[in-house]
Amino acid sequence: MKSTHELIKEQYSEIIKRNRYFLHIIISLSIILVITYFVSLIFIGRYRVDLFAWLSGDSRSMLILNIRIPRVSLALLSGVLLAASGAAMQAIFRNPLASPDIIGVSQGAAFGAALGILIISDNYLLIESISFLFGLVSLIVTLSLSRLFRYGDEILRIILAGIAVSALFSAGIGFIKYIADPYNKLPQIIFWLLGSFSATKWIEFKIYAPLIITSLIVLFLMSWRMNILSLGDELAKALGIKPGVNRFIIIVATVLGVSAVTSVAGVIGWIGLVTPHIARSLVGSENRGVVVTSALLGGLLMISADDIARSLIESELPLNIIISVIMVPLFIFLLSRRRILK
Amino acid sequence: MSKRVVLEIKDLYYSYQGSRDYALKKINMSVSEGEIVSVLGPNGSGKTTLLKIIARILDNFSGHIKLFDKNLREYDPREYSRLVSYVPQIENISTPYTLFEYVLIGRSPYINLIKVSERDIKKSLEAIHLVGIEDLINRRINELSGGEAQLARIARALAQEPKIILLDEPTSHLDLGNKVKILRLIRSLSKNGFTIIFTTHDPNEALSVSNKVYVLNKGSVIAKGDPVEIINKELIERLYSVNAIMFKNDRFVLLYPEI
Repeated sequence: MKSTHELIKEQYSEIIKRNRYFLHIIISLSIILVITYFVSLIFIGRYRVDLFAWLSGDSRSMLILNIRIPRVSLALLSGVLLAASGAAMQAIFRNPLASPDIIGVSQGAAFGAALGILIISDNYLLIESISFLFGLVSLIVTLSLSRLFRYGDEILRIILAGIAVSALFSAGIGFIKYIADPYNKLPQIIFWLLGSFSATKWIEFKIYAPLIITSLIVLFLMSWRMNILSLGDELAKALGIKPGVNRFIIIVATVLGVSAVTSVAGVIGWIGLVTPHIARSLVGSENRGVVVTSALLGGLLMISADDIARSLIESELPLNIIISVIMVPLFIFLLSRRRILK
Repeated sequence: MSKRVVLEIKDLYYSYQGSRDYALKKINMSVSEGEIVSVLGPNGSGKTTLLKIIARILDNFSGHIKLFDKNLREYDPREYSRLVSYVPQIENISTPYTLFEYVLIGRSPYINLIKVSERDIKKSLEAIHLVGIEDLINRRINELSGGEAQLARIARALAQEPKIILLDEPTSHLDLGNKVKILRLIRSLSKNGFTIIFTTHDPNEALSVSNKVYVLNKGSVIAKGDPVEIINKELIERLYSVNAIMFKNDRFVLLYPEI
């Protein structure tokens, strides 16, 4: 018969072995992501980049890469951010159906963009800024509304306020579509809402990439706190943290990131909802692993979707259509089998 | 030799926001190291509220609470959660953590941002072994039975390496076998040096495991002391409005309600 000490030692080494296995999954995903990134830059698109020519300073290859690098990079960052914030929202709202748009940010940013297109039309940078600002406005409105509510606990209040704010901004988008010029502005609004990185240039990358990266760092550093928050506010307090403050930090990081993504790429669904579930089936439920793995999967999915968007047919395809086509079968597969991790 | 007082409550009053009535009135309490203290009372008597105040989940009380001779409010929350752990009556957790992942979250008072140490893993395993659920280590907590889940919660509380463990009605949803298991565990934890405060609405539980009982009714302590001396027919009638028969011998005292 083994002593308790020996048993603990044995289980400890098993846990370390399992953690190492999870780490291998994360490293493999990172390698796949890096390869996909470079393949997308060089081989995918209407024009092929000749690597040797580029290295010897070929101006045509330079030109192509100059257009592609900001676009593919921002697609990568956006996928990473949406997936990581999906994982964060599911943990802090203690709801597996939560996604980054739960607090109304995406609809807010979408309304901002529709409004921008309606009144400005051709200055993309300005439209994106309006969209980003409306994303932040929607957070302020959601949080203020949730403080006004007297029903349910804090989590439920924020979710209900988010639903109300989303509905309000959706109505606003509907109204803008209704009054928009059907030959010029309406198609522009609709294409924007369907999601695309086609307008992404260096300037967008320079403005939004730092924001997205900052959000990502915060989300990663808060990922253990997400474990605590997922047990509920009472236990969080009993475990020595202030749930309201920690949740606020995570929400603000998410909103900054998601507003940035939505303002350049449009409202992109599914990635934030589904990738955390795939991540959990690969590396378990502890949120440090879930956030990182979801992020890598999200980046991979977004780059792949963007690759298809810009190379499948002559003109650009909307991202949301492609993402849904990829994600829905994956989602069905995920729900119809028991689990990968035993 | 009298043991060191670890928790002292003086003139504690508490009322919930928006309510004019006191949920707790003039509570005085003293708990010594290694003691098992039960808080007995009917539903709605303020037992859970009292436990939540000691766990620092509820604030805005008036009165004085001292823990190891230091005012409760003077503690940093993290420092405090290394001394006191809390096991609620029910937990709804949607994330499918494994038992190990779940118990590891109990190490949070020792984890800075994202850095989980070797010690955190080892202490979690020790807690799991102390409770005796090492066979369930890879099971998902949402797939555990009621009794197993309660043991998992206690293991999580133990991973905090606390001095005092607060258990809110730890046996209320359990069958007889699991009830006995938990009560035995409470006893063995006390022998391991933990101080335990648990709430219950069952006088027999207070009689069988606790060294000291505080009887709560409508927010006030109406009796306190050695459970065998305090719990009697009159008290039960007053608390629950039922007639009860007491059985006593040199090994146990049992209370049987007339039906």
